[in-house]
Amino acid sequence: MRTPVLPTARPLARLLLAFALLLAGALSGPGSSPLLAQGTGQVAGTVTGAADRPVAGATVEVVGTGRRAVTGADGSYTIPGVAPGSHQVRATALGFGAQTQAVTVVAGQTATANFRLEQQAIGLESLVVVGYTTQDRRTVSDAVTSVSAEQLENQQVATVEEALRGRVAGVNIVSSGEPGRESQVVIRGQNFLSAAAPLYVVDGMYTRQNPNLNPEDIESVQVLKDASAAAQYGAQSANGVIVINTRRGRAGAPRVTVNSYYGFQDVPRRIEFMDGDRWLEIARMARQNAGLSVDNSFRFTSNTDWQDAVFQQGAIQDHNVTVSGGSENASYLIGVGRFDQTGTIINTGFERYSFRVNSEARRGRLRVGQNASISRFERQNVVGFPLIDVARLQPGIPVRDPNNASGYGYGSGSDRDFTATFGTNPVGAFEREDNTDISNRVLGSLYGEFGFTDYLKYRVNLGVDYQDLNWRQFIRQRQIRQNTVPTFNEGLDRRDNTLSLLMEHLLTFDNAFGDHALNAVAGVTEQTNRFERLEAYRRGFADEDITEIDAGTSNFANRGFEIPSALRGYLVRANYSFADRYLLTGTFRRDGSSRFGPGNRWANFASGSVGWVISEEPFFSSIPGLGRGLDYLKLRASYGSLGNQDIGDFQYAAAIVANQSYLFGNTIASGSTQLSLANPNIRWQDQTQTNVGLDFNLLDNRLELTADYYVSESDGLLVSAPIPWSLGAVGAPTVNAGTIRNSGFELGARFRHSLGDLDLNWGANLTTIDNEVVALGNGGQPIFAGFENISRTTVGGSIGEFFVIKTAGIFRSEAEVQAHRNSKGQLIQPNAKPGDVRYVDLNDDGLINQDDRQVVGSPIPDLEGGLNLDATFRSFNFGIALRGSRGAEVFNVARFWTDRLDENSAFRADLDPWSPQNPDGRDPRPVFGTQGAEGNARPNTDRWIEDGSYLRIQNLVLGYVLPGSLTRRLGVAAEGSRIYLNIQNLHTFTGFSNWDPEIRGFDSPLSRGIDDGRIYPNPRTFTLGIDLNL
Amino acid sequence: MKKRNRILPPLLLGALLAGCADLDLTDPNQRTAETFWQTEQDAVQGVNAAYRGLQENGTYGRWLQFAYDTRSDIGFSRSPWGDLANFTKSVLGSYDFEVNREIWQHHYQTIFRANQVIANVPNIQMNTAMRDRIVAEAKFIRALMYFNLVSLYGNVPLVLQPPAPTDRPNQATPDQVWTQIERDLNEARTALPPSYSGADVGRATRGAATALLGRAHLQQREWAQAAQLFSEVVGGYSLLPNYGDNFIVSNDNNAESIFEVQFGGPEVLAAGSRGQNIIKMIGPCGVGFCDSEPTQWYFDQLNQEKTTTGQPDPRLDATLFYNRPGGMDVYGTPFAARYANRLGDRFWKKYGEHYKTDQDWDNPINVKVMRLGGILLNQAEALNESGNTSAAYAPVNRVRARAGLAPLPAGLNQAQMRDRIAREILAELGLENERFLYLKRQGWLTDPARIAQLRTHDPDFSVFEPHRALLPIPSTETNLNPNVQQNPGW
Repeated sequence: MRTPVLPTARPLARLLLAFALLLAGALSGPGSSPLLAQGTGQVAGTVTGAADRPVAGATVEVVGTGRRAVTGADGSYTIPGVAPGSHQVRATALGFGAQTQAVTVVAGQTATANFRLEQQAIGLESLVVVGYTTQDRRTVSDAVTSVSAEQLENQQVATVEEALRGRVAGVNIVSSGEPGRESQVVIRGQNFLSAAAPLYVVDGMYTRQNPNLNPEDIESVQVLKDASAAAQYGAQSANGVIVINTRRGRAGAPRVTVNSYYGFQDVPRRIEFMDGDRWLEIARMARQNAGLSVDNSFRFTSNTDWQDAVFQQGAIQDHNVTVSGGSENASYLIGVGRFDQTGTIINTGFERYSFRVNSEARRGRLRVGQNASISRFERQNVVGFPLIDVARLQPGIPVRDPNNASGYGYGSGSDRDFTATFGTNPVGAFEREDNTDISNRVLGSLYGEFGFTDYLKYRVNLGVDYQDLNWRQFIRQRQIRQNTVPTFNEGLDRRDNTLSLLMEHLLTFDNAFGDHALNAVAGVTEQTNRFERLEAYRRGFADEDITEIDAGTSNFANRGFEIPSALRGYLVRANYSFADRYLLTGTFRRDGSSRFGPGNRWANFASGSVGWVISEEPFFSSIPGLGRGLDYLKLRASYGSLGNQDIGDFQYAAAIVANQSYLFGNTIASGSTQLSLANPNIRWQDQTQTNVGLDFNLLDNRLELTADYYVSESDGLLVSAPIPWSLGAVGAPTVNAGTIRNSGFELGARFRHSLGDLDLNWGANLTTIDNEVVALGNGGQPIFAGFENISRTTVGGSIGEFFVIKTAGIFRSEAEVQAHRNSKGQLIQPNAKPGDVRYVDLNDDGLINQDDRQVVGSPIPDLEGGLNLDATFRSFNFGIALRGSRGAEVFNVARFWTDRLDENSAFRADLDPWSPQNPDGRDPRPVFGTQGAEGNARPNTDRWIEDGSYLRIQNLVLGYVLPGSLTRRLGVAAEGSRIYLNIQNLHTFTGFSNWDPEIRGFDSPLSRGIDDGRIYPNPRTFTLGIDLNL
Repeated sequence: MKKRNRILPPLLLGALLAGCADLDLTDPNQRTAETFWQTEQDAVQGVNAAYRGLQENGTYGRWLQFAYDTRSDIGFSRSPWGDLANFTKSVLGSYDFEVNREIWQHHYQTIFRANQVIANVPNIQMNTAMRDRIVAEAKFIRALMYFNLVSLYGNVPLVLQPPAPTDRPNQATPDQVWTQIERDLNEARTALPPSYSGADVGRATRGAATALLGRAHLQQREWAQAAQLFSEVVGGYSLLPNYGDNFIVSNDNNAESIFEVQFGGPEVLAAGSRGQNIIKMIGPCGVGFCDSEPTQWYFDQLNQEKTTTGQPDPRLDATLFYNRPGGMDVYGTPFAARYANRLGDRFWKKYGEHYKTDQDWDNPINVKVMRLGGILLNQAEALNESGNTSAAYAPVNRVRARAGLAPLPAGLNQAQMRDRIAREILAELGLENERFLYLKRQGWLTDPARIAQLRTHDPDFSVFEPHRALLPIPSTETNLNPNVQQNPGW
C-alpha cells in the first residue's frame, strides 16, 4: 500500500477540526461559573516574602481538591468553591520554600490564610514537572534534576546546554566554541553507537533537534535521568529526556523586563610555534638526515604565525524585551530577542532573532492556551580544517602573496624555498567561500484542558515543530593550495524542510483521600514527521559577487527527496503516595514506529519506582543520632525499560538506487542497483535501567544531599555497524548488534548559610562514569573509526578506546637500535637510526605493524564534576562555577602535524629533536620525506595521545542590584533591576597542549576525543549586562 | 441535560482521533530489492549499473594509473600530497590511505553490482538470449575486477553472491581467484555477441572476454593457452593508422578497441555518470596536478628509436609532453613558454584533452582496458615465452609498422626477443596499466638483480622490497574480517 505524498496532511486537518470542535463543545454550555456554587466557602489571603514584600505568581492550593489560585502583583489570592471543612492550604513559589497551613472553611464565608515564605536555595522549587505529571519534589521517587530560570539568568549563556554544564550530575555536555553550534548532550553515559541527542520536550512538544531556545524564555528545565521518569516518553526516551517549559505571564499589571548584555571573546590558549629561523635549522636537519642536499643560504622573508591569521577577537551581544501579565482568567507573555555573535575564528558568526507568544485563557472548567516561538538564525560556518592548517603550514609562507593570482600564500612547492606542502591557506579558504546556514523555525503547542471535576481533567495537546533550513555555499575560483588550481566557481543552495506534528489526548487524575494521594495520567500520543530536501547546484558564475543560483551558467544539478516517519504511543502513569511517606510510581507505554518492518513495529516499555520518606515516620525522630541530625531522608529505587529508534528510515528494506547511469554508444544508459545492504530484522533497542538514590537534608534543611547509583544496559544495540569492504556495500547496515552497560555514581550537594547580610549558596556535583561494551553482535568484530582508525570499540572495553602502537622513547645510539630485538633475536626496526622512535613489538613477531596496536586510553572521562557558589551581600551578588573532568584522553592531530617532522609543517616552539650534538633531545630526529610514514611519523601511535583532564573556571559573575532611589529617578518603577559583569571560561587548568581539552567529536561516539582540527576552541568571554524591570 | 454536552464531544473526539497516524509508510524515493529484478528492463538497468561501477575512482576513473604505472619504473611522484607520493613508492603509513582504500572498495562494490545481476537475472521471465547476454556481461565485469584485485593484492576474499551483512568472506589463494576468473570468462565467452551496434556499443563482447581470458593466462605464465586465446581475438580488430588517434575522444570505441570503460564530460554528471579524472590528477602541472610524472628513464626509452623516415617514435609525442625540439603545445601554450623555468620536466599527455586549453575534472576520453595494439604485444610475449620466438615477429612488427618503425631484425633469440617486446610494451602501452603487470609476470619484482635494475630506472625503487609487489590489504578489511590476513611483510 502506498502512502499519500503528504502523510501528515490528514492528521493535521483532523487535529484542527478536533480542536475547533472541542472548543465549540466546551464553550457551548451556559457561561455559568462554578466559582460560587452553593454550599462552599472560599480561602483568601496574601503571600509575602522577605521584608513583607508581596510575592506575585505564587501558587496557592487547597491540598487534595485541585483548587488553586495564583497570586497577583500585590501578593493576594482568592480560592473560591472550597467545600466546608478542614483543609490544608499550601503555597509555593519559585525560589521560595513551600508552606502549608491548616484552615477551616465554612460555607458562604472566607477563610484567611496568609503566608510568609522563606527564600530558598536556587532550584528547590517544590513542584516539579516530571514529564506528564507534576509532583511535589518531596514525593518524587524518580531521578530528576531541575534547573530554574534564575540559574539560567545568572549565567548569561546563549544556550540552555551551556547553563546546564557542570551543574547537573550525570549529564555530560561538551560544547564547541563555534557560534551557534549546538552542544553534545549525553545523559548517564553513552548508550549508543550512533550520535544521539536526548529527547527535548518543549511545552509538551517532542523534538529531537536541539530546540535552540532563547534562554530568557525558559521557566524551568527538568532532566529526566532514570527509566522511571523517562519511560513516559517510550520510544524516544533512551537518550534521556530534557523537559523545558517556557515562561508564562503571571496575574497582575503588565511587567516589562529588558535584558541586555554585550561582551567580547577570545581564544584563551595558543600553541607556541617555532619562528622561521629556527624552523629552517630543523628543516635542514631533516633533509640532511634523509640524505638530501641542503641549501644553507636560503632565508625566509616572512615569519607567519598562522594562528594570528585565523583567530580574532569575537564579540557577543544579546538583547531581550519581555512583556507579560494577566488576570484571573487569562495570562500572556510576549518576548522578543536578538542575539549576535562574531566568532573567535575569522568569518564565523551567529545571529538569532526570536519571538515568543505564550498565552492562556480560563473560563469555567476550560483552559485554553498556546506557546509559540518563532526564530530565525544565520550562521557563518567554519570552512575546511583551519586548526589543522595552522599546524600544517610553515612560517615562511606569507598569508598573502601578491605573486599568486589569488593573492594568497601557499608556497611555491619547490624544495629550494622549503614550501612543498599540501596545507591549505586557511584565510583563503574562509575568504573564497561563503558557507551559511539560515534557519526559520516555529516551535509551539496549543492545548485545551477541561476539568470534569476538580481532580479529573482531559487535555488535548497539539504540537508543531517546523523548520526550514537553508544551506548556502558559494566557492570562488581562487587557488589556496599548491598544485590545486580550481577551474570553476560553484554555488549550492539547499533547502531542508522538517515538519513534525504531535497530537496528544490525556486524561489526568489528581486527588487525595485521607493519607492516600494519587496522581495519574493516561493518554494517546501520535507524531508524524516529514523531512524534505531540495537542492540546486551550478558552476560558471560570471560575476563572483552575484551568487544566486540563477547566475550560474553551467553544470546544472539538482536533487531532492522526502522522508516520512510516524510514531504512535499509548501511555499510563501513576504516582501514589501514602502519608507523604511511601511513594510508588508506575509507567507503562506501548509504542509503534514506522522505522521498523511490519513484524517488529511495536514494543512495550514499563517502569516503576518506589520511595520511602523515612523522616516522615513517627519513629524517625526517636532514632538516636539520625532523628535529630537529619531533617529529611528519602530512599528511592527505580527500574524500567526505555526505547530507541534512532536509525534512518526504511532501513529494513534494501533500496534500489537509480541514477547509476553509464554510457553506451555515447548516449546515457540509465542504471539501477542496490548499493547498500539492508537488515529486514531490525527491531527496537531495549534499554533497561536501574537506579537507587538517596535524598537527605541536614542542618535545618540548609544542606541537601542527593546521591544516585545507576546501571543501564542497552541490549540489541541499534548500530550502523561497519562491515568488511569486501562485501562491496556502500555504508553500513543498521543491526541490533550488542550490549552496552553504563554505570555510575552521581552526587549532588547544596548548602546555604548566611553570615550576617552575606548569603552563600554552594552547589557541588560529582559523576563517575563506567562504560563497558558487554557484547557486540556481528560476529563480535571490533568496530574501528576515526582518524586513521585509531578508535576501537570492542567487547570488554569502553566505546571508542584509542587502539594504537605504543612507543618507548627514542633510540639514543646505534647500540640501542641493535638491542631492540624480539625474543627470537630478530631486529625489530632494522632501518632505524639513533634519534628514531622506538616502537613496542607487542606480538613479538619482529615487525612493527597493525598487529602491534593496543589500548592506550579512552576518551570517556572517569570523573566529572562541578562546584559553584552564588553569594549575595546586600545589593551585590557574586557567582563562580568550576567544572572539571578527569581521566579522558585526547588524540591530538595538530600535534601529529607539528611533530611528524617529515613534512614542511609548522613545528612546536619547544621542539627538541635528537641529534648527535643534542643526545638528550626529547623529540625524535627530523627526517624529511618517505621514511616518515613507516618511521617516526606513524599516525596511529601513542605519541599523539595526551591526558585531557581539566579544571575550568566556567563562569564568574558579579552583579549589583540597582537601588530603588536610583531606579525611580530613571523612571523604572519595579525593583530588581541589576547590572552585572560576567566572565566565562576565564581559565582552564590542564596539561593538554592544544587550544582546548574539551573535544566535541563531530562524528559518531565511536570516535570521540579526537582533536581533528574540526574543533572550535571554547572562547573566553567577558560580558557586561543589565536587567531592567520596568 | 444540557450540561453533558460539554463533556461528551471531547471524549468522543478523543476516541475517534486515536490511531490515525499511519505507521505503514513506504519509501517515496526509491524502489526496494523486493520489487526490483522482475522485468527485462530491470535486468538491463542492473547490468548498466554494474558497468557504472567501472567508472569509480578506484576502478578506472582515477587511481589505477598510480597503482600500475606510477608504482612501476615508468612513473614517479613528487606530489605535495606526501601520502600519495609515498604510495607510488609502495610505501603506506596507513593501509586505509585513500588510494588504496578506494581501489579496494570500488572493485568490491562493482563486484557486488555484478553479483546482483548474476544472482537475480536468471530468475526473470524474459527473452532468453538477452538474459544470457546480460548475465555474461556481468560475469565479464566480475572477472575484470578480480583480475585487478588478484594482481594488486594477491590474496583476496572471493565474493560470488550478493552478501548478507553478517558475511565475512574467506580469503582465497591467488590460484583460486584465477580459477574463478577463467570460469567466469569461459562462461561469458559463449554467451556474448561478437559486436554491438547503436546504443549498445561499449558492452562486453566475446572478443573482450576472450582477450581478458588470454591475459589471465598470460599473468599466470600459462603462455601456450594465452597465445591460443589471443590468436582467436586478433583477427576481429584492426589497428588505427595513427597511434595517437586512439586517445582522442572522437575515436572512442574504434576499430582497434576491444574493451573500453566509457566516460563522458561534465554534461553527464547530472545523469549520474561521470568522466575519468586520470589526467586531471597526473596531467601537466597547472592544467592538472602532475601528481605523477614520467621518469627520465622512461623518456629515454621512448626517445631511443627513430622511425624509418628518421622521425621520433610517434608514440613518444602521443604519450608525453616534453620540451620537444621544434616545439610542442601543452593545452594551447608552447611547452617552452609554459614551463620556462623547468624545461627539463616531462608530463603525461596520453588520455588528456590536450587539444583544448584546459583540462576539466571530468574527461570524456574512454579508458582503453584492452585494444589490439596491446593484445598483439601480449600475443607476441606469449608466443616467445612458449618457445615460439619466430611466430612472435609478426604481431610485434605489426605494432611497429603502425608506428612507422622498421621490422625487428631477424634472428633474435628468445631473450633478445623478450627485451624487444618489453621495449615495445613500454612505447605502446604507457599509462595503460600494463608495465607493472609485465614486471610482475616476468618476475622482476621478486628478483634482487632485477630490483637493482629497476632502481636505476626509477629512484623510487630505492625502498622497494619484494613484499611491496602486493599492496597491503586495507586495515578496515583486516580489522573487520577475521577471515582475512594481511599480506606478508606488511
